[in-house]
Amino acid sequence: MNILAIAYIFFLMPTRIDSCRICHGGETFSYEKSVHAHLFSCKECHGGDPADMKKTAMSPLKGFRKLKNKREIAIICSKCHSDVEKMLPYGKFIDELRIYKTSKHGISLFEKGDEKVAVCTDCHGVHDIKRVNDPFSSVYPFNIPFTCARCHADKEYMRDYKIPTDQFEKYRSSIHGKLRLENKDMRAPACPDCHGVHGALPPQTKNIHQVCGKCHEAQKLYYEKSIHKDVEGFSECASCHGYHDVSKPRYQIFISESGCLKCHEKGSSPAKLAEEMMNMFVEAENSINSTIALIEKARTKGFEVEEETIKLKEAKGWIIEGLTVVHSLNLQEVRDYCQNAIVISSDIMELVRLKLIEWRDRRVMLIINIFIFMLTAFLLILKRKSIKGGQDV
Amino acid sequence: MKEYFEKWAKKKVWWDWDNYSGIFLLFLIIIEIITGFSLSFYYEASPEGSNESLRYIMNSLPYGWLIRSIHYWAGHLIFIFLSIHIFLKILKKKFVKEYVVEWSTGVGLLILSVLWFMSGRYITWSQNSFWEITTLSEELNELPILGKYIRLFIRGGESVGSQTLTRSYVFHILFLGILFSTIAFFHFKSIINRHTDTSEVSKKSFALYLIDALIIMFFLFSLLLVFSVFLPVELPPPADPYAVPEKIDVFWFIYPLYKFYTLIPKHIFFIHRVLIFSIACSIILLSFSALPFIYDEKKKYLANFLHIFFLFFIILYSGLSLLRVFL
Repeated sequence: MNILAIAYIFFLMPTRIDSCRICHGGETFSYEKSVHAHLFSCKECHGGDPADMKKTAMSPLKGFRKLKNKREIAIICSKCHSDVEKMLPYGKFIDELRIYKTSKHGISLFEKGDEKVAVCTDCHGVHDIKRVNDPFSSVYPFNIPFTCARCHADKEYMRDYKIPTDQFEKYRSSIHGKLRLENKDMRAPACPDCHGVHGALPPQTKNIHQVCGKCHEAQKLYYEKSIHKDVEGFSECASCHGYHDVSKPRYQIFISESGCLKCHEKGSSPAKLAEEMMNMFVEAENSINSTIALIEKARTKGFEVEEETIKLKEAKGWIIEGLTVVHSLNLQEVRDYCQNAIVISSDIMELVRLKLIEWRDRRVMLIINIFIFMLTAFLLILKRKSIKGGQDV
Repeated sequence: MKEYFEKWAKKKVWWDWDNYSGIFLLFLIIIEIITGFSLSFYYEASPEGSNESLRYIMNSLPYGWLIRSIHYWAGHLIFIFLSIHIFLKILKKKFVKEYVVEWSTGVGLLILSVLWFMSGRYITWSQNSFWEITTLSEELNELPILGKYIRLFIRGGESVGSQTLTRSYVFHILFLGILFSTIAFFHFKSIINRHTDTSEVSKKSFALYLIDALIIMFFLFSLLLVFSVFLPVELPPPADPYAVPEKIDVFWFIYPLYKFYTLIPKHIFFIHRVLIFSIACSIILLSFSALPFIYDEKKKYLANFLHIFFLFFIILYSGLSLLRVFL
């Protein structure tokens, strides 16, 4: 590796005198690929004298520092990243260190001196730091859950903190994880979207709906109107949908042990209300499914059903909105939404039925025509036979 | 053996199907012209209006769906009967010098039919047709000297757009129509000239043929109605120049040629495959149309070889094309 480094220096960059690169070939190579490569040299972080070709280049007298201490790393990074003048051209924030210090990681490092917590280099890389929007960066939106999991899924590493280590596995199998990691859907949240970027904190019980509400805003507004809002010890969204293992809500949530029945006794009035709501949704959904089947039938018969398909989306929209309104626990409002979906779906069904009646008419017309054609053909065959008979004679 | 085969073949009714398949083709082309003419009243040849006008024809225009479906299915049936027609003509050795006009005009009509069908596909301005014409013109661009002119001629400009559609439309309804009718005129004239016998017996034979033709016509109408009612043509998705499709569905009759083309490496000794393919196709087509001159009964081995070779070629080619339809 060193031979390569020497070759690199002498043949490719002969004018650059930097003694660090002669011995630290590996680090030099990874540094050359980083976002910082053409901005500054090793000296900016490590100090020392790169012009000195001897080992004295790394003398503490020349300001050399090994950066073995995590606190030192955070401060060294912030030297530039908290500097307005330096960060202005890149449009970067300058308060990362301040925010970091308010995070669990920052508090543990700066106040408790815990060297195991994550600091800048643990997430962003050491010498090979890449831009956040570089797909090879460890903090690229699709890579960040894996980066967090490096520590948070390591049972051995997390033993002292007494916190679960199955968050990543749960997240990966959740609707959010599947969308973000499998479908590459940036709208689905990853760890920093809920816990914060540099100010990583676990959301508190009374904040969960605010955190979820960043994306699920309508649900948040309806939830705030509901009776659940003021219930003590109710873990807001997470009580019904789970934490890291948020799954796609099914209607079963209204009558399942992991849903409403987790708190409400079966047969009690809240449980009955939930069941009634579920029945409304199921009825609306069934109506839409029947319409879809009818539309498909018409499509296979060659009818244009584009307009009906678009209208059906409106009906589905009412159900989706109804599922949002359900967070308010207002039965009448939910009923109205479901009813709207059923009315639209029935109207579409009527339109499609008319098309299928036309198809029946087409078939009748076809049978009549074919009958006439075949009859004419039969008469022609008879005529042919008589002519042929005469010809033979 | 050969005598026995010919004797057996002459006894069979299907032996006369080389002529009947021709009548089928004639009717189908007449149906295509009538339905195409009807559709042209409502079709709009512009990238924005093409799909919309087809949608209008299919959904709002009374019996528009029927006219378009018949136009579509008749187009496909033409190639099925063309395969049968060519196969039987070769089987019955209707390519000897005596039939030189019918044969050479027939080959011309075959090529024009393919072009006619393909231009018809392009004017639907669907996602498939847009990318097919784009790929085709791009590949032809690789031809030395003439390539860029052919590309420009097909596209009507640097990119595939409204000019390309206008050209395809003019070709479909005017240029190819006139050219086809002219060649077809000579094709039929030669057939009629052969049968200028005015005897009483011949008149009766003509009456029989006429009745056969009418029966065929009614059979064809029934077939087309069944196809149109049970398998009405769908409206293809409109062309989207910004979305490249994963694959292009090539017209089934030229599918074996397309497959053969894709099997050739892109460059062989710095020569682009399009040139190699064009030369190979030209040789096959030229030898096919010049068959009456190449075929010589006196040279028995060569004659037998040519007969069997082209017979198998047609069976193989049609078989592969039809496989594409069903698989």
